[in-house]
Amino acid sequence: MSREDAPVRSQSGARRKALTPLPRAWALFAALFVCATREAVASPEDIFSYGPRSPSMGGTGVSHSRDFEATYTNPALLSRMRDRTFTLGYASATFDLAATKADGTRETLIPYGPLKSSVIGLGLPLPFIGPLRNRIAFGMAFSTPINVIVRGRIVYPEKAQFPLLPDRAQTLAIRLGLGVDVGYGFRVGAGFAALAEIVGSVVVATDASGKVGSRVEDQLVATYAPTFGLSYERPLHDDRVLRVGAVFRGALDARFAIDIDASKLSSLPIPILNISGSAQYDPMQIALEAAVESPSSVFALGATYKQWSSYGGLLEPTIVCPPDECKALRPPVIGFRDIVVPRVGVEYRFEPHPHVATALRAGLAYEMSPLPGTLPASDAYSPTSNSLVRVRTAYFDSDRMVLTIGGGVALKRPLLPLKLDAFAQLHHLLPRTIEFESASSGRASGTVVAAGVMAGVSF
Amino acid sequence: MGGASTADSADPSANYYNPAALASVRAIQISLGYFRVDHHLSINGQDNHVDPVKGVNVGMAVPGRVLGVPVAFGLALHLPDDRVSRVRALRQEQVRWELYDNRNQRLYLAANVAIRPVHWLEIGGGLSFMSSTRGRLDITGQANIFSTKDSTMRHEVDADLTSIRYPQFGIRAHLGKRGRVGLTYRGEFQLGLDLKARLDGNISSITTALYDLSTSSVNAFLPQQIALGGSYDVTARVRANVDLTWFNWSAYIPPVAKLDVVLDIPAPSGGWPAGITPPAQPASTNIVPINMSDRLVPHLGVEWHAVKERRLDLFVRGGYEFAKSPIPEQKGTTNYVDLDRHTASLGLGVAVRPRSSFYRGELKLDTHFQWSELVAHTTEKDEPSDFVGDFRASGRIINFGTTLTVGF
Amino acid sequence: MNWSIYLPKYAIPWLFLSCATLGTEGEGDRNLPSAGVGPFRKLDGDELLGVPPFVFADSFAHYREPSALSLSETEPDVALYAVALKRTSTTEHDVFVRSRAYDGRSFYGSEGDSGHAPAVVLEPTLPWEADHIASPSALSYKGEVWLYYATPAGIALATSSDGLTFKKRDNPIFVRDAAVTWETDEPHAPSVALFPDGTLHLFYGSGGAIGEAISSDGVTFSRLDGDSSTAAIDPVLTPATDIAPSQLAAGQKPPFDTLRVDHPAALPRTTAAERLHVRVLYTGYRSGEGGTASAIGFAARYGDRGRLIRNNAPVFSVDKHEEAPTFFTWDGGAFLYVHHDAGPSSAPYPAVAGAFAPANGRLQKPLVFSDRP
Repeated sequence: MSREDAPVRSQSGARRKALTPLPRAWALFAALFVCATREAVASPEDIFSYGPRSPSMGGTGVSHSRDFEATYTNPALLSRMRDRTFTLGYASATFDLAATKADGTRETLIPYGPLKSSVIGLGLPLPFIGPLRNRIAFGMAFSTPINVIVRGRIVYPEKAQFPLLPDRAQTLAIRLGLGVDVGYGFRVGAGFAALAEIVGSVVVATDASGKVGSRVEDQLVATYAPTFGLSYERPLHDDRVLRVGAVFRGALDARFAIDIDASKLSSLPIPILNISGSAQYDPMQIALEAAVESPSSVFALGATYKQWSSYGGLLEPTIVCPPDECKALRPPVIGFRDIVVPRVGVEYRFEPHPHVATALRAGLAYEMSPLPGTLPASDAYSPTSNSLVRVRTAYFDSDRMVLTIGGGVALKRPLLPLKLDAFAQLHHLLPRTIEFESASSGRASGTVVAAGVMAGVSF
Repeated sequence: MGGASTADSADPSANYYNPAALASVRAIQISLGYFRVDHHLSINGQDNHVDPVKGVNVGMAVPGRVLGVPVAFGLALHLPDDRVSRVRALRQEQVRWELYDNRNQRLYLAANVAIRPVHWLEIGGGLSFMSSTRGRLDITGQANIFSTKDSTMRHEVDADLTSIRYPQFGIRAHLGKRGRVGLTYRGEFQLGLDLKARLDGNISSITTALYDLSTSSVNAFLPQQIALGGSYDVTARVRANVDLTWFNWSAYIPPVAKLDVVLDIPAPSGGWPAGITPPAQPASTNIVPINMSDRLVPHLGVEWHAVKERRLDLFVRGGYEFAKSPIPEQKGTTNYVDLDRHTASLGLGVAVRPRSSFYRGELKLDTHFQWSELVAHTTEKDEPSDFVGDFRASGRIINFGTTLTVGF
Repeated sequence: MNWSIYLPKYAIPWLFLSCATLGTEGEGDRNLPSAGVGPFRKLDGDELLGVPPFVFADSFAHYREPSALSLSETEPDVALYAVALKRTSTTEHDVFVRSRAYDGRSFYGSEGDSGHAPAVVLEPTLPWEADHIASPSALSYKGEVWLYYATPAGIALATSSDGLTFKKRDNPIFVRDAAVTWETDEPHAPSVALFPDGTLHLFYGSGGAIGEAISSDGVTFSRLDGDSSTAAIDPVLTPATDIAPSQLAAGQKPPFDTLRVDHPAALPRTTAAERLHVRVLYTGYRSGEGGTASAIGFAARYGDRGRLIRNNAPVFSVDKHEEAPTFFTWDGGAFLYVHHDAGPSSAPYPAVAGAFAPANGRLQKPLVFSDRP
């Protein structure tokens, strides 16, 4: 077992009590420092969780993470790290989603490709001495799809789609966090999640010579969301520890917003087009979790609250004007629901060799769908009838039962201090009927399979 | 140091100057800095208000050992205040300060690893990351030309930020106790911007309209570079550096939007309403090549260790570089403005090594000031009927920054 | 500071906010160099008090053939001389009027400026004017305003000390020369410009081309040869050679001035390279399927004499029979005035429209019209 695997032994009991609790100002400084560094998170973690252990333990980790994955699960637990680690990994997911009409025929979904992403993680305990020794650590988690940083697909609502699942995973995820062991069993941590969003303008005009002149300006701007974590641990009898963790993750909303101004192209009055929408969205979350941890096992139980009710939906109006002053089309208003995701995870550790530590992991989570059961219709212009028509908002989604398994092998010095971890996830979308205004109902179902491997080295 | 650091970096700045030098870092170093570059660039005596480059710099160098071999991991980030990146495509006729206007308005993020297989040799490399944009916009509905706000239009978007990675490698050799030579390669980089927009609808029920626009451009081009540098400790307190950097400017792609438009708006049966002239099918852009030249840029730097004590060091640094403009004379229709540049730099640094009860590392504060003077030049146009005409460009660039490095 | 009060109130809520960088639109395109001749864009409704793009319009007076006289180098303060239709109960004939705009757009007496009318400054009174005067060209010279204009007998001159009351010369100052073969009609549409060497150059239309003459006193002009390689006196600008449709690239438009060139408006300047740059805007005509079309073109040369080189692209084209350009520049840009069709397409009348360069520049909405002509 590597040093970081030791639960809390070095700081338990009398020795920990002997340490002076850190002043509140230090904790505040740490939180402000992490805020100032401004880093990132996004949806792949929200769907699959993140790191070598959490994805194989039902997405738990708020109370038991102990390496760079804590930048997502709970930055307070970064302070559990003892070794500098550098991790590389690869993860993949396939989406086998089905939407059927009321008569049983299958809908034609917009195409969803697999997710293939690379992972980089850095764990860095800061080598202070004296009262700060082994108390402060910094973590960075970086995950990006192989070819795409952010996927922004906002399609017409009448096209059958799962708007909350596959494309949300196609995005870069960067997190930076700092965890501090403040003593008396308390740890605090903070971090930032960031994502890039696109804002820009395209101005097209024809000059006197008949040449189309254009000015295209496109900016990536960073959008940030904070993460704060807290944990408290106390020893139980024998060598077990009870740890309770809580984490707050701010909402992260990455928009796509391009104005197209072709009004100077001719004397034909063309409105300025607001091509905007929500490319990626992670709701505000609060997670609570408790874990009982011993040198040979971890059992974690928790729940995550996700405030989807603040989500405004994917679409924004193409013509921007106050509702009572014009007849421009408006996208449907969908009342997304807040949800609670219960999770449970276990880990069993054993050492087949004095220099080799292994672990087996499993977990379960149940993620309710934030999509309401009845969806309003959308307005569209029909060129055939030359009039406005009502079309269904063909969004599909359903509750997911998530089964996870995984394992890991860690070599210890004098061997090369290498860790290998792997996970697999099966997301089963429970069949669900969705009622559409202005159309017959539809049914959503499917499976998502995800897997990943990671290799980390201590140095 | 005038940018002469290819053979002389022992802190997080090695992530840029020479990743191999990370392997010589003895302790964890984390740096946080801020810098600002103000452009005072004028044409015909009037300031063109070219945006400043300003933002936070974060650097990290984390040394360690794997199987007894020194290794290191490094990370460098420059995050502009206002944006991650900006791509801007203009018509090629528009006058712009080509190398300063928009090219530097982007994030720099690099991750490197380094190894020291033998005591005199360091090897390092890594990747820098950015993203390009490609997207398709589809707009349908009815455009109301009599009351544009009442247009019943809607849109869909399929846009991706695609990742770009470009490599950098470095090698450094120690020649005895006083000398070092280094070589760094930085890969070529460019941001693409490809947007397609399709508007298919009808105009106030009097006719149909198809407008298919495709714009494509390359932005923020950074040429591949090879820097060769040497560093020599003249005395125990004085160090002299020299670098020569080759820039492959001849591969430069200017950020000109290649624009193709398909327009099909049939005339209404009763003719167009009074005052309405429909747009005509425009011609495609024919991009004139920029024909830039490769350049060798020399850098010189000197560091004087004014105070060198057990707990306190004071440094004074100075440097100079000359960069000849790679852009040819703009006598034709294009107007890419650039000038030869002399740069002088001055730096001050202080390092303290406190012995507190919780920290025994090194705290280092560095500040730098750079003054670049651009050699004024007058461009004479060949064609008297040019819409821009002759112009005289001049300017200066002022750069100030400070960095705090915490070593453990 | 009492942190226990301020932290919960200000700092902690801020920490929980998600945020983003601003992404403000960049600059770098201010004060860009320009030859001051466009391309121009027409003024829109947010930049004018009247009906866009017209700056000087009246459905009865039919203002046309404007000539701008800049009154300031730093401000767009301009006097505009134009032809107007004067109607009586029994007759109607053309006169010259003068108006003024401090902002280059809000001209005294234009439509919308109720209660005001521009000043009438010149009427046809001499026998050789044959009741017809046209194409004024105003020039500030020797502390006076010199107004050149076209008559059936040739180009005439009137001078004024205040720009409002003019005294005519007894005879035309520049008439057709039978020896010049391309001058197939009487010289007209004058534009006179003062050159840095103190000479006055007259650009004029005749025979579908544009000629040039020089004078040291502004009264006696001698013709300049546009092409010294031939023995004859040649025009300085002739119509462009037409291009067969099959030779045009996709989307490329044919030359806009293949039929004739006319109505020059000359404005010399000294460039940043200390070169004399003679800029001439003109009206180019082309025969098309729907009749003759026109657009405003730009031709120029370096040096005080020689042929003008045309730009292939027009500087202003709205397909509304635009003609008779005049322009001026000041520190903030350049204004172009032309006359083109106004009113309903069934009964159009000419009015003076305004256009601005640089085309990406925006002008603030004016508040009031000028208070004097």
